[in-house]
Amino acid sequence: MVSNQQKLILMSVATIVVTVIGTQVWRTNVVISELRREPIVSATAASSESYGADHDFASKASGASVNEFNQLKAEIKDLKQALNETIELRSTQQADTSTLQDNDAKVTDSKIPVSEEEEIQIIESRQALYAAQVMSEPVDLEWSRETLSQIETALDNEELQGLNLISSTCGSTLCQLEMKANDLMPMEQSMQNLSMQRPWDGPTFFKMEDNGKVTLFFARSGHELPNDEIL
Amino acid sequence: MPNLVKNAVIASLCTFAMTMANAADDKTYPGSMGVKYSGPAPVYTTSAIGNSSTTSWMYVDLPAINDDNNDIAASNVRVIDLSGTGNISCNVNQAYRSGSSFFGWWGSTRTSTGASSSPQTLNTGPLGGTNMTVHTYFSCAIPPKYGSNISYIISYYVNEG
Repeated sequence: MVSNQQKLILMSVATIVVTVIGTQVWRTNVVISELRREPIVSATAASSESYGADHDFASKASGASVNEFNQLKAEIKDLKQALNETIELRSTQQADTSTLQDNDAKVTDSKIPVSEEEEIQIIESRQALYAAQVMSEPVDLEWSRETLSQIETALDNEELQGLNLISSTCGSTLCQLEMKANDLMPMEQSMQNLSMQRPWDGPTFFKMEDNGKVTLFFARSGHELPNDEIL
Repeated sequence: MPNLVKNAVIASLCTFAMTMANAADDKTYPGSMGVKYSGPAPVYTTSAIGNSSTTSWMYVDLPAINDDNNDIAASNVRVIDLSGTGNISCNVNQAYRSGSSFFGWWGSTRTSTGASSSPQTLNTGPLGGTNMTVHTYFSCAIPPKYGSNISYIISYYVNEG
């Protein structure tokens, strides 16, 4: 499929090429028409000779015509060369456009992981990265205690009572929670409620398994979840 | 003659530059694209979605198109918060289903302040970093009507970078 941007580029290139070629053709026609007028000038000179003008005038006129003819010939040569350059430019632009389209296709392809397995690998590597961060960073006891206290209080809320806290680990910028869904509320509904009523503000990663196991990693307010660039 | 070729090249470069400048993927969606998942039935005005209940909060998901398989570089939700007792809160989310599990990310929650008929922009920020085929949505909570004043989500915006 050709995108709107690619269409725009192609249309622009086509417009430019048509304009350039049109201009060249017009200029070539002007030169040709000038050349065609040349014999008329000579005939006029010959005619003035028959009315008694001297041969010098005719000879000068003829010499001037030859010069002009040579000049025009040189101009045609220049025009031909320019036309060839234009054609080359058009070819280059077309080649560039093709390359852009190819590159665009490659970029688009590279954005899509090949398979679902690959996507799972990405998620698992992210989860491993978060877990490593929690374990490696120093513990901020005050923030950790305060955060976990808020979580326990929040889980007493009627809308979150479908989740039981199994374990929690916090560092200084990141926490990990393990939860288990109970029968009081469907896990999906509990998680939907938690996403809006969570007692923390930072960005959060979640994994919700059909067996009721829930894993959460969340960043301290003002912090981001670790990403690959940190490693 | 060289001027003509030069002009043609300049025109091509300008066109190319303009095209590249428009490459960022920005989209603004009307609030009416929101889907209520909990609470009373929504009301709509000029494609904004509102909560006309006098007692109950309304919770909506706002779907966004992930057409670039890219991560969210920026996002926001424009709201009218006319409640004197509650505020509108929103966060941007991404989710992915694989096998018997859902995975995903919740962005930071952003909340409106005060009560005003002027729109407020909740900058829900960037999210992601995976280039995966996740689906993207916002989750928002809209407080009940305050007197006769209904709070609305006007629109939401996503830039995929």
